[in-house]
Amino acid sequence: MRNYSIIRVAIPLAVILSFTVHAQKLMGVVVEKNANGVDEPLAGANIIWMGSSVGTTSGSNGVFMIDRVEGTSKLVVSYVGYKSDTLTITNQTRIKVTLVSDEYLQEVTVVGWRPSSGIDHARGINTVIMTEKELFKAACCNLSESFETNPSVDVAFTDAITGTRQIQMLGLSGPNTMISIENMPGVRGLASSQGIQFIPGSWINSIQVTKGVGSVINGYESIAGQINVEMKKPEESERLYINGYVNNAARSELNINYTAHTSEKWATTFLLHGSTRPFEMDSNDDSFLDFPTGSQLNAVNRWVYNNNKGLLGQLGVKVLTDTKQGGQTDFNPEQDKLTTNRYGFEINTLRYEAWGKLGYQFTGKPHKSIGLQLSAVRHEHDSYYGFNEHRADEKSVYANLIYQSIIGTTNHKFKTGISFLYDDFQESLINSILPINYNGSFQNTLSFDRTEVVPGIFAEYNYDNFGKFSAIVGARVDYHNLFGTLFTPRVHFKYNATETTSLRLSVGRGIRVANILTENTGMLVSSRQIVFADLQGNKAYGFRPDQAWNFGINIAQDFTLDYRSGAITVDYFFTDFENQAVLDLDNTAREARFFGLNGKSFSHSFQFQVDYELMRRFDLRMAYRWLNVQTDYTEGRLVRPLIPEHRAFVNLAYETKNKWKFDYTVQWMGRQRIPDTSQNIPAYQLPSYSPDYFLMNAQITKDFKDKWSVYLGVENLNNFTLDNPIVAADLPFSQYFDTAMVWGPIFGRMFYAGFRYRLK
Amino acid sequence: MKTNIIILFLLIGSVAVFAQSKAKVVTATIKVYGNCGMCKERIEAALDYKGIKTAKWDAKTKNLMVVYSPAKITEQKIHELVAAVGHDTDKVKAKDTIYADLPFCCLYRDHDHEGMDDN
Repeated sequence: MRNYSIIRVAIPLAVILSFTVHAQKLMGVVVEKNANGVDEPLAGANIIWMGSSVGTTSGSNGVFMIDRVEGTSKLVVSYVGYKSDTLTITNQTRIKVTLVSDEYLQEVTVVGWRPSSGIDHARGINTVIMTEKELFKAACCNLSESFETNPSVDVAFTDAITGTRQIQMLGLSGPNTMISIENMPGVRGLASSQGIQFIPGSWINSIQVTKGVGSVINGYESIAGQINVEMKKPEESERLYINGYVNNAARSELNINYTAHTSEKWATTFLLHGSTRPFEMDSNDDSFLDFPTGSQLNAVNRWVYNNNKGLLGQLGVKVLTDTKQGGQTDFNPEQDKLTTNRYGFEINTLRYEAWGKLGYQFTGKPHKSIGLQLSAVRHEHDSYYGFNEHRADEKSVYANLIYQSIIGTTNHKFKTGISFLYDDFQESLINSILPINYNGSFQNTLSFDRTEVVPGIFAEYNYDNFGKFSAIVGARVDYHNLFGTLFTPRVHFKYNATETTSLRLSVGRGIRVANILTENTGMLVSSRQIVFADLQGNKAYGFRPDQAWNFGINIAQDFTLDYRSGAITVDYFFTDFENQAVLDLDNTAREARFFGLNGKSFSHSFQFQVDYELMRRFDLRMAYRWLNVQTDYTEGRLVRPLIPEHRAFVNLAYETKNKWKFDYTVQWMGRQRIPDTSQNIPAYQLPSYSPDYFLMNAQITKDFKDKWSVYLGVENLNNFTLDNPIVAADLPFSQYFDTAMVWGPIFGRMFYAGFRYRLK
Repeated sequence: MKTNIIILFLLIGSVAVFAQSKAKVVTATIKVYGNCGMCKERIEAALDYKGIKTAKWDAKTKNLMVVYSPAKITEQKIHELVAAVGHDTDKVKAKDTIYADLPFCCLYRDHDHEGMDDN
């Protein structure tokens, strides 16, 4: 103990001594006052003792250090464009010098870009934000692959040959979740089949996942949840960002983001993506490619405008072309298309988008603003699968005007506005061999051309006492030209029981017009006859819009254990459909039967999640999710097929001090009900339930300084695949052929590597 | 069921990891000077060090709460680690040369104003 106290005295003494030795130095910081009267550093200012040659310049933080010189006490501080300052230094050791800008030059002072505070996300709604750090845990490749570590979102293949993935929330198929891009219509309409693969991962800045009903501001469509994607923005992006990726099947991707601040008020970002799957690969020898060959070119150019006086604007355009070809190996479209030579398919997509946002922040009233969102989309989809030809063309225009302000104090906020949606579809389904059964009449060609025009009004009131309680109450009324008045009320409550405990409730209705063919393309990749039955009218596909109530409860508890923090989240959601266009695969294995719900259709979802920091820089996430999704079919109430009732995962993320990152995820998927195949000959019958299985992914990332990072990973580490993902792969033109009975991975262990380069 | 058991094992395994790190530790509160969130990051990253279990710095109170194992590290060493990245503590002062490299928003020392202005 004695030694200890000696050190205690000795060290401060040494510090004081060393300090007096350095007292001959003068330290200073050079600043200017910005428009708001706040000090900002001036880098590169010249500092010199008058009448001597001893000088220095200020660093990027405005700080300089200069030795005292005998015989002079006058310090000259100068900077181009600013009035020089001469100071008399007596016994100071630290000074601050404020330079004043030369009046003539003041006007050309470049003001830096600051992130826009345009749309704030309603805090009362339970939203999980996934940042780049989270997204980098799985480096590949687009939005469909971003949810590996998010227990609320499942991603599944629609069939065994097109490589199309769809998300599921609360056990409900993809389009029940509204996917918006920067709070504007994103993945909907014809894009709902392939669309999540058209958003490259390196374009994404963050993803906000809301379970249950969202805000009414963005429309009536979210039933199971809302996923909002924020893309890279000019005002906060690196100057240059390059990402390259390749895997052992030669899937290759290149992404280039480039940002330029072209003037004081304008800035622009280019987002470019090119990807290809050049080679045919059939690892399970069933004569079908494991995934299609093809390529995608995808480009965005976006601009932001900020006059620094409250007016903010955005403009953007996007062009996308995507081709996919697959089926049996050596399928050659020129000879084999629409023949029984070989089974094949092609999906060709062309998409153009343009959007704009205009916002005005009332001067001196930070809570009062008005915003206009506009977007226009043209989407062309041209595809065939065997003898099923599906062609569709969508032209869509969307406008949303939002006014927000407060009532008296900021305890009471509101948003209100009007919206308009125009959606025109030219869509046809052709099968020259097996006619489509439309309400009992058999037709080789069916067209579903329609034009939807939907004006709407909405209002949302937000109460927040900035303590324990907040509430959001909203409603919207839309008039749909085909389906009449749609009323969508939604409420959210949040109660902070303690500083570490919060409780949230949400109740609301969601409505959407299902794009039945686009959302179920897996059915087209089979010999099933397409049947439309129990029609509810003659509009669109013959069904009224899907409509459901959603109830949710969420409890989040932060805790500290062994000095490390963690969180436990438990939630339960119940979705009850008032109407639904249902796909029935169980009636007979020969049909894919769409019918209007006449009975119950519901989903229960329960989720439990623990996040904890096991050690410094070593994070653990464990989650378990239970689903019970059932629908009344003509043959009785059945569990929805191909949805795992149980899913659990453990994600471990470790980062070393010198920026090596290790990620490991193991998932367990419970058994899934497989639609009834008992009518098939024994060789093509499937069990009633799939087995449960594990999936493992791992990745290593190394960051070098702040410019480069490289990563190496493996998907499906334990190499689990379906033995026979395709029913009757050997007889693709028989009545038994079916690729949609997929409940797990089709390709095995896959290695990948890539890099990221960023220039600030 | 077999797989459920495996999951259960994973969970138990994780709990075991929680439990094993119950070494003898002490908690100390140290005054550390700084301003902002960047300072907080820097200070806490500097204390990502063997023997230190956790370190949390509060920009308002300037209090650093540090939990460490005295068998592995001394409190003096903790002061030195903080000073080495440019932040003064109530015992150890950071070197001027290191302090001068801090970002502008982190310049926490008082800078006497101007001196005498000759203009």
